[in-house]
Order: sequence, then structure tokens, then C-alpha cells
Amino acid sequence: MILDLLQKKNIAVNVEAADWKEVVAETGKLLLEAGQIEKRYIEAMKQSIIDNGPYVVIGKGIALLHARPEDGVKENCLSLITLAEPVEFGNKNNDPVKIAFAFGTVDNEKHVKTISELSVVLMEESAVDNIAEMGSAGEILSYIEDILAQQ
Amino acid sequence: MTVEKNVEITNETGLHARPASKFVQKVGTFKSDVTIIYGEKEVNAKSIMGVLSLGVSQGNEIIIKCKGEDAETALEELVNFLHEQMAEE
Repeated sequence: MILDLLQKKNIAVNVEAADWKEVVAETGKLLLEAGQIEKRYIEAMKQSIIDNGPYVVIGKGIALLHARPEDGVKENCLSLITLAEPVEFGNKNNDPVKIAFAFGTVDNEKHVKTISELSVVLMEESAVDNIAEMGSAGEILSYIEDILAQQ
Repeated sequence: MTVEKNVEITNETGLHARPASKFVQKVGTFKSDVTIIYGEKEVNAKSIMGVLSLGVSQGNEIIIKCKGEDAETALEELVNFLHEQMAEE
């Protein structure tokens, strides 16, 4: 299911970002350029972190960025960036962030299943470090595909 | 001591990132080992990704299991906490 959403156009590797706001902007930009969200969704994702704290850093080195369906999501979507340099989000357990996903959903039921599948992939031994070091979107997609095939 | 209790997930968005992360933080305040069981899967409740990987949505029922010296207090407080979280969503 994540492979239906996460396409090459939704992935960028070795992205430069100076702080967490730039990480949100860069990850969101991939969805914006694909026509999957409105620009205000990116601001909403930032605001969610300001309001709720860095809970989006859900595991060591991973940020899962999102806002609400009514914040400007056009269709279910998922993007991924790997960072050239790790970035601090202020989450003492899981900083620094090496890879960041942004997702938008128009459908709560499907979103739970997508995030479930994504979590299964990321709980694989060394998955985050492996993805962080990959040089291309194609490489990342086949890696995720392999993990899912083993489930 | 091991105790467990069933909880129905009632909020529209299920056990997603924000409530899951708050729940995981709360779990960390107890000495007991806490696990969440959903269907055939059982995960450590101290891992947000573990909790998210269950894919629990509205109307699903989970089992919270606590094992340790403060198991009874932990179970009672965690179940209450989940109910409060869901009421706020």
C-alpha cells in the first residue's frame, strides 16, 4: 500500500536542510509539486510541531510529518527525503533526524493501514540507516519492496 | 504480577501518531513491561512505531497487558489515559 503512494517523484535523496522547518518545507515541496496538496498544508505541518511538540520524530532518526485532511490535502499521498546532514527536531530520545516522510490523507481508515505498513518497514533492523545512505529513489523503493515481500 | 484489560478504540482517527506518542510517554513512567495486543500481534508499548505498526482504527479492540511490580496501577492509569486521549480527539 505504501508502494502505491510512494513513487519516484515523491522521493528526494541527500537533501540539504539547515533546521527542522526546512525539513518540513522540503518534504512537503515534493507533494506540492506533484499537485497532491495545497501550499497551506506545509504551513499546517509546521504549526502541528509548534503546537504539539516534536512527537513526529517517531523513532530513531525518523520524522513522520503530517497535518489534518482539512488543511489542504487533495489526495492520499506520501513523500520521503533523506538528509545530507542529520537535523535536530528537539526530540531527546530520537534526534537527530536522518530521513523524513510527509503524508497527507483524505481518508482516516486507509491512513492507519498505510502508517502501519510504513512502521513495519522502519522497524526492520538498520532500516533507517540503510535508507539514509542510499543514493537514489529507485534503490530505496526496491529496498522497501524487499522488506514488504518478506512479511 | 501480570494484568490485562480490553479497550475499544473509539476515536475516528484510531491509534495514530499523536495519541500513540503520548501513550508511549505515559507508559515510560511505569516500571512494568507494557505490551499492546491486537489480533495476533503483540508489541512493546514503549515503541511508537511498534504501536503504529498495529494499524488500529476506530471500532477495533486492543488488549493492554502490564507485567511488573506496579502492574495494577499502570493498567488502571493507562486505560484511563487512553480514554481521556480519545475523548479529546
